[in-house]
Amino acid sequence: MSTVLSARDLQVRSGAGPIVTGVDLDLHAGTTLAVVGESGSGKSMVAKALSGLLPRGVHATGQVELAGAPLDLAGGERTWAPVRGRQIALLLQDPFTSLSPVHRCGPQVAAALPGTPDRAQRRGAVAAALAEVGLDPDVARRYPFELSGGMRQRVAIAAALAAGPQVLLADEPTTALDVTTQRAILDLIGELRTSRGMAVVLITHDLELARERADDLVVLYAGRVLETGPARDVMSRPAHPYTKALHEANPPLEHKVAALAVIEGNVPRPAQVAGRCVFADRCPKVQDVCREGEPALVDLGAGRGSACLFAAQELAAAPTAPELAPPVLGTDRAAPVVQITGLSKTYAGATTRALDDVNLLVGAGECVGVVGESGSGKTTLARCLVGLERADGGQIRFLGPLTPTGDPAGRPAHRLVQIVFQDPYSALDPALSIGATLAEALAVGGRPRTDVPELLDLVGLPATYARRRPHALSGGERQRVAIARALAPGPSLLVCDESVSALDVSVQAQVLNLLHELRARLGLSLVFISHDMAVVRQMADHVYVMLRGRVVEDGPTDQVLSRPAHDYTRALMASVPGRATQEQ
Amino acid sequence: MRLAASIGRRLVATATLLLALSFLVFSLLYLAPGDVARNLLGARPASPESLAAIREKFGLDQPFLTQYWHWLSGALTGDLGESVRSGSQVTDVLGQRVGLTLQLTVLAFVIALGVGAPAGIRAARRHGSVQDKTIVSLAVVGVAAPGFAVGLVLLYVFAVMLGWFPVYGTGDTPLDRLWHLALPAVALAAGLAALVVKVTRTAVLRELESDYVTFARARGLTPRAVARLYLTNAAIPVLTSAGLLLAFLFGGTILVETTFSLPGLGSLLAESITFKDIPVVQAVTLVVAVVISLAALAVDLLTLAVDPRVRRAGLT
Amino acid sequence: MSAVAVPLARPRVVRRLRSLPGAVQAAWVVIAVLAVMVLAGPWLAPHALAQDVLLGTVPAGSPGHPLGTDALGRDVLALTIAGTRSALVGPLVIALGSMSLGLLLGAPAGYRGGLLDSLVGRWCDLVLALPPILLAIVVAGVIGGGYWVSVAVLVVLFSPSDTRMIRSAVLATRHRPYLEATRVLGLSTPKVLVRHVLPNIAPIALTNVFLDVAFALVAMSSLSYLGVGVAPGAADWGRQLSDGRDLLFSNPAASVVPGVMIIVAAVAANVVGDWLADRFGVGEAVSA
Repeated sequence: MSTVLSARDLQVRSGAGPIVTGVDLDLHAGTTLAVVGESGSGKSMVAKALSGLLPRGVHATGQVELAGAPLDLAGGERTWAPVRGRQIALLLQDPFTSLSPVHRCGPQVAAALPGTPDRAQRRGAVAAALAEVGLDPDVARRYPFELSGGMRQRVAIAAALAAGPQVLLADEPTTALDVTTQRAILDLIGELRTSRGMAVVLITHDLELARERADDLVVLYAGRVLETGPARDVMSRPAHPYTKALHEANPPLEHKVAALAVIEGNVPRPAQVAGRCVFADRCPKVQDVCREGEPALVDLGAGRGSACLFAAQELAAAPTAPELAPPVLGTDRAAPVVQITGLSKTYAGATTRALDDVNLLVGAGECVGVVGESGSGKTTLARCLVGLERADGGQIRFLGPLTPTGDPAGRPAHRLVQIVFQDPYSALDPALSIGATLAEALAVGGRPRTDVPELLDLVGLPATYARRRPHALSGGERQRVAIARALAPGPSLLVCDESVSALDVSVQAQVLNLLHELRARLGLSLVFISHDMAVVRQMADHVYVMLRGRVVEDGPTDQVLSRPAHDYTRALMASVPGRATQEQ
Repeated sequence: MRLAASIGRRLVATATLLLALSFLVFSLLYLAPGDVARNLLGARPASPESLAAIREKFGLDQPFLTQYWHWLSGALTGDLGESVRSGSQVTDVLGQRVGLTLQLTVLAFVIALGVGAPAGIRAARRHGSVQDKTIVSLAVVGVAAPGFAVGLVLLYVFAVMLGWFPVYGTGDTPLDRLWHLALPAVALAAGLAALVVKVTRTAVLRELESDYVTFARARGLTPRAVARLYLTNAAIPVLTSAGLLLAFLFGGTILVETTFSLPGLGSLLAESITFKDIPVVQAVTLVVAVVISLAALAVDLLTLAVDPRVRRAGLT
Repeated sequence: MSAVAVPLARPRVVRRLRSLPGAVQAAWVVIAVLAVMVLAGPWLAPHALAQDVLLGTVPAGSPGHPLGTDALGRDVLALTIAGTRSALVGPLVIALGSMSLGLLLGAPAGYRGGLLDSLVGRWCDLVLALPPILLAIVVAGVIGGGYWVSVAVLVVLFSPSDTRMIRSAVLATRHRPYLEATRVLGLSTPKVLVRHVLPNIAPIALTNVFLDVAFALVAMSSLSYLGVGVAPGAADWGRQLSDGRDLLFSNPAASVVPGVMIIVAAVAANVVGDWLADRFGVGEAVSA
C-alpha cells in the first residue's frame, strides 16, 4: 500500500480567523479515506486546499508530499497547473452545475485529455472515457441538460479522471442525487479506485456512508480532527464523545427508537472555540480540564487516534443500546381526518403527470409518511394538501375533527392544515422579527400577540428570541420557528415537506424529537414527506411509497420497510447507505 | 418542429409590436397642439383653400382609423408623405441623411465593443484589483456623462485647443469622412462602451463564480480552455442586452449629431421637432423602431444558435 | 436608509460617512452640496438671470465674473447655481414617480401573474422598443409645453424598466417558503404584498431610484440641450450647454462648467446607486 499523498499540519485560514487547523492526512493507492463532518466543519476547505482552489482571501499552509515530492500549498498557478487533473482531481457535489451548460459533453471530457491532436483519436479516447463510467459513446454529442443527474455525475467523473490522476477528491459526490442513483455512483467510484489504483478522498456528512465506503476515516469538527482510524473500528467503538453522539443521533433504519440521542446546541465557528476542546460546550462528559487547553490527537494504537482527554475510557465503554420504541398504538385509520381519492395533477407544459390517481388517508393523531425520490410527486401532494396547488382531478376531503368552513371544493380551511418546508434559510421573512412573524400567524387563529412567548416555549426556544431577526438564528432554530408559525393558528394536520433534510444530523435529531413530542402533546396528525427511509422509520406509523406520481405501495411502516412488497420499495431500502452493515 | 413554432411565434410578436408602434407613431400627429391641418401646412400661408386642400389630401375628414390605414399602407410602400418644412418627399429627406448616421453609429458601435468588451472581461478576471476599480470608475463616469457633454469636451480639447480634428463638416473622401467622424463617434461610443463594460463584467463575474469553472480548473484545463468555456456562457447575457445597447446608441446619436452639426437622421429629428415637421418626425421614429425591433429579432435568433437550452425549450 | 434620514447628531453622521469607501464619501458630499444649491439657490444667486448686453461675453477670470459671462452677459457662476434646481428637481420627481408606477404595476404583475402580468408585460415591451431619450424628445417636443410636461413624459417612459425590475424581483421572492407560508395561513394578497413582499424588495427599489435619478438627469438635460422642455433664457444646465456651444472660443467655461456639473451630479447618483446595490445585492435582503 503505497502512500500517494501525505499532509502534515494542514491549516486553512481566512482574514476572519482559522477555518481548519492541524489536519494530518495519509492517502494510499487503491483505498478510500472519508473526511466526515457536519456543515461548518471545514471539510470542503480541505478538498479545496488540496487542489489549490481556495476562494480569494483564504490561504492554506502545511507540509504536503505528493508522490514523494513536496507540494507548496501556497504556490501559484505554476505550482498547481501540472498537479490539477494529472495528479489530483476534484469532483464537486452538484452535477447539475459542474458542467458548462452550453457545451456538449464530449468536448468537456476531451478538454482534460492529454494532447491528442488527431480528431478520430480524440473521439476514440472520449468514447473510452465514457465507457469506463458506463455511458454510451453518443453521450458525447449530448448537452448536460439533456442528461439525468446520475448521468451528468458520470460524465463529470469521466472528465475528472481523463488526465489520469492518482488522487480523486470527491466532495459530497452523491448528496444532490436520488438514493438509488447514489449507490450506483458510489459503486462506480469504488470500482474506478480499484481498477486505476487511485486514492480516493470521500468528503461527506454521512457517517453511515463513510463506514460503508471508506477504509479509513477522519472526523472533523469546527476545523479540528477529533478522531481518526479504520472506518469500521471507529464506528463500532468510537473513541471520541462527538463521534459517538453523531452516530447515535443518526436515525437507525431497522428499528424505531423511543427517542433519538441529540447533541445539544449548534456547531460553533472555529474561532469561537480556540484554545480548548472544540466539542466541550456540547459534550455530555465535559470536565473543567477540557476547557483549559486543546487536547492533542492521542495515538490509541491499531491506527486509531482521538483528540479526547478521556479517549481510553471512551474506547473501553460499552456501546449504549438505544431504547426501542413500543409498538405503535392509538392511530385510528378508521376515523380519518383527511381522505384523498383519485388525486391527479399535470403541470402546464409537462408531458408526465405529477400526481396520478393518488389515494391517501390520514387517521386521527396519526403520522403518515410519504417516501419517494425527486419527481415522485410527493411535494406536489403536499402543496395540494395545503392549497398551494390545485389538483386537476380527484378529491381531498377533510373529515372528523377538521370541519372545513363552507368550502364545497374541499380546499382546506387555512388554519386547519399547515406546512413546514425544507429550507430553513428561506423559511422566515428576513425583514420581520421572529415575534412579528409569529404574531401574524397567531392573529390568523384569533390569538393575541402576547401568546408569542408561549409559542416559542412550545418549540423549545427562549422568549427573548421574539426580538431577533431570522439571520441571527441557526438552521435548526429557524426550523423550530417555522414549526411554531405553522402551529400558531392551531392546525389539526401538519404537513412536513422534507422539513429536516437540510439540517445537520445532530440538529435533525433535535427537530425530529420535537415533532414527536408536539404530536403527542397536541394530538396532531402529521403528513411527513421525506426521501430518507431511516427518518421515516422513526416518524411514521403508516407509509406510502410514491414513484412517478403514483402510490406503488402503502401499509404500516414496520411492514413496508421490513418486508417491502414492491420492487421499487426494495430498491429504495437497498440503496440506503450502511444498510448492509447496520444489522451487525 | 418546436423550434420552427417558436421562431414563428417570435416573428408574429415582432410584427404585432411594430404594428402597435406604428399606431403610436401615427397618433403623434394628433398629440401636437393646434389644428392638424394647420400644423401640416407649416409655414405656408393658411388660406381656407389651402387648408381644405390639405384636409382633402391627408383625408383628415375621414375617421382616425382610416387615416391610419392610409398612412400605414403608404409607409409600407415607401411613401412617408411630404415634409412640412421643405415640401419634398420624406423618403428623399431620409435618404439624404441616413448614410451619415449609419456610418456614425457603426463606427461608434465598433469602438464601444472593441474597447468595452475586453475591458469588461479584464475587469472581471482581475476582480477587486486596481485595474478592475479603474475600469469600473471609468465606466461609471461614462454611463453618467451625456453624449453631448462628452462631445463638447472633446470638441473643445481636440478641435479648439489642439486643432487635431475639424470643428464641423463631414468630409468628402472616405478617409476625410473618417477624420470628421472620429470625435463624434468617440463621443457616442463613450457611454456605450461604459455600458458594454458593465454588462460584460457582470456576466463574466457570474460565470467565473460558477461550479463548472472551478471544476474545469480542478481537472487541469489550461487557462485558455477554461476561458473558452466561460466566455461562451457569458456571451449569452451580453448578446441579450444588445437591444439595450442599440437603444442607447440611437438615443445618443440625436445629441451627438446636433453637437457636431452633422446632417444625419438624429439632427434631422431634432430640427423637425423644432419646426413641428410631424411627417418627418413620424418617419424617423418609425425607422428607428423598425431597426431596433429587427435587431432584437436577430439577437433572439442568434441566442437560439448559441444556447442549446433555448433551442430545446423555445424562445419565450 | 432610515438611519440617514432620521436627524442624527452631527458627529455620528460624520463618523458613518468616514467609514465608507472614498468614492461613496465624495458622492454623498456632492449630493449634500447640490441639495444646498437647490434649497438656497435663490439666496446664493439672486440675480442669476440679470442680463448685461453691453458687457457681452467675457472669459473666465474676469473681475466680478470668476467663470465669465455668456452671450447675454449673464454671470456663468450665478446661472449655474440657479440652474441646479431645474437640473435636479425634475430628475428626482421622475425617479420617484417612475418607481412608484413600477411598484404599482410590477408588484401585482409579478405576484399574481396571469392576464394582468401579460398586459403589463406587453405595455413595457411597447415602450421599451424605442430609446427613452428619443421617445421623450419626440413626445415632449411634439406636445410642446414646458418643464413639467417633459417630467411627466419621462415618468411614463422610465416606468417600464422599473416595472420590469420590480416584477422580476417579486417573481423571485414569490416562491420563497416564507411567502408560501403566509398563503397557507390565508393572508390576503394586498397584506402579503405590503407586509412581506415590499420590505424585501425595498432595497432594490431604493438602489434603482438613485440610478434613475442619474439617467433622468442626463435625459432632462438632453431635452433642454435640444431646446425641449425649458423656456429660452431659463437657468438650466442643458440650456447653458447648448447656448455656450457657440462660445467655445470666447468663454469655454460657459459650456464646460454646466457640462461638468451634469457629469458630476450624475456620477454621484450612480456611485451611491452602485454602492447600495453592492450593499444590498448579494445574500439576504437587508431590512430597510
